[in-house]
Amino acid sequence: MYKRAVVPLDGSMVAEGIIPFVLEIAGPLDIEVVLLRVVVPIPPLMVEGSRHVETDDPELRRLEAEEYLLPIAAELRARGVRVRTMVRRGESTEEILAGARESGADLIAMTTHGRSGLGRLLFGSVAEAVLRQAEVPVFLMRQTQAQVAARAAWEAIR
Amino acid sequence: MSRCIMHPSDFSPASRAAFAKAVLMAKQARAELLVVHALSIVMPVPGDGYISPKVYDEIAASSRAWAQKRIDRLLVKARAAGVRARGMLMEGVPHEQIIRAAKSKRAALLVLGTHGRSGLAKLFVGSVAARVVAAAPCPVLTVRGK
Repeated sequence: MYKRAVVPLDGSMVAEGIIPFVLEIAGPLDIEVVLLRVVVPIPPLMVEGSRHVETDDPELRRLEAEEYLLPIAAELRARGVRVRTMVRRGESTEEILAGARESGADLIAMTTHGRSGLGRLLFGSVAEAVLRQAEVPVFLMRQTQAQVAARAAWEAIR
Repeated sequence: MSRCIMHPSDFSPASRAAFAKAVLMAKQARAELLVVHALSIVMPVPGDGYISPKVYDEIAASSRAWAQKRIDRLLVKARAAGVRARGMLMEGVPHEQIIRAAKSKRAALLVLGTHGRSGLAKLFVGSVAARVVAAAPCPVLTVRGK
């Protein structure tokens, strides 16, 4: 039913919570997985009174993003999942949607922090924006702090 | 006990694509499909603002009957596709009822439609889907309505 799924990762444990699902579902159903990391441009930063200006290095950050995706892709490949990686630069929601369109994906699978109230107002939700705007079905898994902590502990002792 | 796929429907065109997807997934996974609807009973307010209990009951009963009929129609469609399907009618605030039902029925997956509103409309009209996602006990698949 699904052929290609975009899995956006932002480098956080919360986002990586989708990986077990990908392993469980994508392998048996022969879904191609497109791991997507969006690099969000950082505006130049200058400290008042100093001549030092910190600027964004797009090439370096692209490389970092690719290095981050490679081991995850290798792990999935080792379990027999077809994987591609993709790094895009821009605003998260827009690039996730554009990445899904360009790769011809028919599913977006991601996790959400499930914030509500004040937290949601402050941080917004990429997942919510994606689910509102996506043309293709969106598979969302809520990750609670407890689940993230449990997995972190598990990875630590493994 | 095999777990079910739950499809909350508001019977709008936005739910139609999600319903089709839910049926397809239930069929593939050989899971039972649970079609639910959260009914909010709308009361007309007459001139003096008084509605007798009898009239209230009649209006409530007729909206329940209407919603049950819409659920049954979806169940017929699902069964025609070869899926085991059950319906459930709830009353109250949609996202609260959907989350409660997903918990009590231990749903494996929620499949629901989104209207895909954007811009100004999204500031005013909250998405039920977004609220469900924020508190759901299980994964949620959202499908954009046509």
